[in-house]
Amino acid sequence: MATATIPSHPLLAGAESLLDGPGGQPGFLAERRRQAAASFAGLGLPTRAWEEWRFTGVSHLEEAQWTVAERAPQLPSIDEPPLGDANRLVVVDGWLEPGLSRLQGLPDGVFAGSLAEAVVRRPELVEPHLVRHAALNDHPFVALNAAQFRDGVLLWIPAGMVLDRPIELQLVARRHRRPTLALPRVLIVAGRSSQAAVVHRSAGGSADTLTCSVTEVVLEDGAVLDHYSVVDDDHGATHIAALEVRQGRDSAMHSGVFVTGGGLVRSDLAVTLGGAGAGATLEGLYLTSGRQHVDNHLLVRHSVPSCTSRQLYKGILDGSSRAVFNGRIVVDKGAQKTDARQSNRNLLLSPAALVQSNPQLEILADDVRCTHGSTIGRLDEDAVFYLRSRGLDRTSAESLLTWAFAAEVVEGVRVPELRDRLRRAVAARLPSSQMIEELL
Amino acid sequence: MKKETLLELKDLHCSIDGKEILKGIDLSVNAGEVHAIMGPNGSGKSTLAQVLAGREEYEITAGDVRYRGRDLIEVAAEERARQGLFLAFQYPVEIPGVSNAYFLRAALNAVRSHRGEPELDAIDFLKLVRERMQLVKLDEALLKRPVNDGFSGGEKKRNEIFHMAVLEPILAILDETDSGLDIDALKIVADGVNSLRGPERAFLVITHYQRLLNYIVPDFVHVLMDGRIVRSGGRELALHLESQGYEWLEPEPREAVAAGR
Repeated sequence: MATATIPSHPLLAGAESLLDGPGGQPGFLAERRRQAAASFAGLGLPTRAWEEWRFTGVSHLEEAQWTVAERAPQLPSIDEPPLGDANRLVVVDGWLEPGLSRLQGLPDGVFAGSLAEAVVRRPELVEPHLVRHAALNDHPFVALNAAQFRDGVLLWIPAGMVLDRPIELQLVARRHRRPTLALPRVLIVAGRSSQAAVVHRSAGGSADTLTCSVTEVVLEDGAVLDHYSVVDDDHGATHIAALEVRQGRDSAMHSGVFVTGGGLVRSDLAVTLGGAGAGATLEGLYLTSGRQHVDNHLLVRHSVPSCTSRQLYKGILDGSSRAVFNGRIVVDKGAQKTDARQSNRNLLLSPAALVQSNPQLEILADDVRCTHGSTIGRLDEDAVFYLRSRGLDRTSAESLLTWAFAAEVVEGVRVPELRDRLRRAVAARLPSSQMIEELL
Repeated sequence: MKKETLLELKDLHCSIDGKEILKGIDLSVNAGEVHAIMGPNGSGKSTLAQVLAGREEYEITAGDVRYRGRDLIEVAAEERARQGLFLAFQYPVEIPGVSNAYFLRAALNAVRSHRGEPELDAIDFLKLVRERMQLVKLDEALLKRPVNDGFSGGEKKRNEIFHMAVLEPILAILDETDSGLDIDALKIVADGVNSLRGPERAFLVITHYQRLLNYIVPDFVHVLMDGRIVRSGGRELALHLESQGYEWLEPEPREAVAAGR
């Protein structure tokens, strides 16, 4: 292969070596990486002058000399126990670690393992999708990941297969002494009429960690996928995540994004409903405190008729934390009978917390039903009084109502063990946590 | 034996956002009695209910409120509830995510712990709750559902009476519990209330309509207009209001009141 030219950029220092690296990377990926690197070099890091980054500044990333994480010489211990009997894949600093993973009783035909390995050994599963769906041209971090990811996970579910146990992807960021860039990449392909649940959880990291994760998800016709993403990194860490979903005819995606940790978290979720009858339910909850900054960007594109989308994102903000919600619904010309709804509701527990909520509708078809709503407020004093008038003290009443606010999203989680864990995570944030735990 | 005076209001004045709503209310409620407070919309009925339950948005600018002989004005809403005061809300609040049973158990345990009684365990609680649900013919499924969430109007009101039946208050205030109920639901609510009547307990029944008082027969009826009680009487006063309306009771001109003092 001809020597590639990678544009010069401090964040691309390791990209060159990947193009003809050991392991015999196939040409399709080298070519896509080259495009990605060029795209990143052309874009550079976003500034607040960019519309999509107006409320989320990342200039602090420019100041550090980032190095892409090498594979951990020693495996860290994972304190979070697996979710019930879920099959678990553990990714440390972007590298799948079979030694920490647990895969038992996965049916034949499912591929659940190292993405780097799959690229080499099963290119036919990967080639149609990898670095195909996530937009390289306008999101520099997506391009950065594509140019330089070392490993990650491929989950490939054959047509017609129903996985009755959830698959857990545990992303762990180690603590490093110097600025370290982790680039986990995940590809999930749910074959025709297959069904599965995936819980994607990230944890760890420190102020010297930049995790830039990209997940591409493909639902072929009739596939049903529950995908939950839990961001629970260290409060100093920066996590920029992109999830790109392509849905075929009559497929159903149920997505939940739960942000409980991380210092600066940016989550982009883009869903393209590309086959008639497809439906997407996208729910989210962010619980922020201190100086956390959480930015959720959603894009739902209805490109064909008769698809349904539901967005419900809720935020509970304490301290001087910041949240951004940007929800865009695009209905392409010809996408008649679209039914799209969006709701973003925020509860401010502190006068110093701040939310930017921006719904955006772009509708190019005329026979559609699209609604959106956004609220930012405090606890309803009528409700607090109602509870107090039955004997609950103010703190308990406020905790209970805050729980109730979160419950609408938490109770919608369809993996019972995860639902239970999220309930406890919400309860732990509340002043009357013991009382709330009794409720669960 | 003299009956205990549970509630005593003397010249109660109360404002919200600088606007005076209650303009001098005198009222005395003894154990075992049922008092009805009637009046047109905007007369201050619901304000009175909220003030008695401890709503802090209202400022008491003058007068006295005593509950069982003790000053109530500085007592927090939750403390009032624990001391046996109960308000059935005109508009019960929906609380998605919190089951009716859980909320009621938390409330009951708060009240019991104040009385020095042990918390009820799950089995005893369920036994009590099932029995009290019968009083208002409430479907047991509503125990597991979130508080008032998705309840019909009638279910919400019956749920309030059910809460009352479990918490066993000493003084219960019913704020327009009859509004929006059809006659069957009204009878159920009234039966529930009547079954709780007793020599130790008093009720303050706030209503716009005489109809409820056919089923919860009051010992006293008071007419509240423009923040004052303009007439008090027995049950016959309610019947008279039903046929004559409130117009004949227009409050006396202020000058006349002042001159009369």
